[in-house]
Amino acid sequence: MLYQYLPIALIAVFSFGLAIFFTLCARYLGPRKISKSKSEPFECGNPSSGNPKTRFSIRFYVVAVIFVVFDIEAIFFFPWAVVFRQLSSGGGWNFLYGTLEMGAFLVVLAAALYYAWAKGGLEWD
Amino acid sequence: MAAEAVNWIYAAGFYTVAGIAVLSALIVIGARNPVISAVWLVVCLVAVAGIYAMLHAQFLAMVQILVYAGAVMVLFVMIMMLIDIGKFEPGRKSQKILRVIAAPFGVAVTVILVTLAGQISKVKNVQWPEPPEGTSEKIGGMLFTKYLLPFEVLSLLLLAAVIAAIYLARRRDREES
Repeated sequence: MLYQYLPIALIAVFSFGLAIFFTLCARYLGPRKISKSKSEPFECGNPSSGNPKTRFSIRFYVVAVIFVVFDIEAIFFFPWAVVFRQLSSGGGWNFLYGTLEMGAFLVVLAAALYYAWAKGGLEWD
Repeated sequence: MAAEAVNWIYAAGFYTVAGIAVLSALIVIGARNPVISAVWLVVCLVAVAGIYAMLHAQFLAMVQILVYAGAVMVLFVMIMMLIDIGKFEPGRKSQKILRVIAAPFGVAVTVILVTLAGQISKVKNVQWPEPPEGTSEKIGGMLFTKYLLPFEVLSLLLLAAVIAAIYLARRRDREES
């Protein structure tokens, strides 16, 4: 069981090691000439405007909640897809079983999406 | 001999992951900048996912990374954008009071945990039941047969979350305009 995680452990060690290695290389090998403009926060080349610690529009919150809801929905597709054949086996009307289960779940979430859409939760103006 | 080696690797893996989880959690509560706390909370959540994976709960480990380290953290950062972070940076005075209040609670929790750990480590030669495999297949098999009703009810919970979020955001909009 445990040795199955060996590739994951190796890739984690390798990627973290590489990141640390590059950071250390940049720190000890690279020249450092600090200037005023270099110390400013990078905003895609534009001069920075104002303090970032201000309040943002509540719209971002709505988008975040909708994202979380549909992220959770997507999570449930994984176990469903894995057992879909078993759920739908057994002959007769059983072939609809898995589809209907997820269908009922999706109808309610589609209603959520419709509500968000109808109330203008997806619009930005 | 081989089993002993496996146990050693397992223990080393557990203490590594648990150590990362505890250290990153300490940084989360210690950092002054809430955004830095949020980034370290991601590290903590991923480490906890590692513990889940070691407990044979593979599906839960993936959900922990996808939903908690992914989606819930997005929500946390969004909330930080909505509130005025500058205003909420704690002053020195209130922190001192909090430290005085927190200290006895911290000592009490530590004493309780150490006592419990001592009691548990005294128990020996117990055959713990094999943990069930928390694979997507096992969870799917349970979720879509035995626990079908809770699964379907969950969709209503998610619907309620969307409606509540839009309702809250809409009212603020009205007040502004």
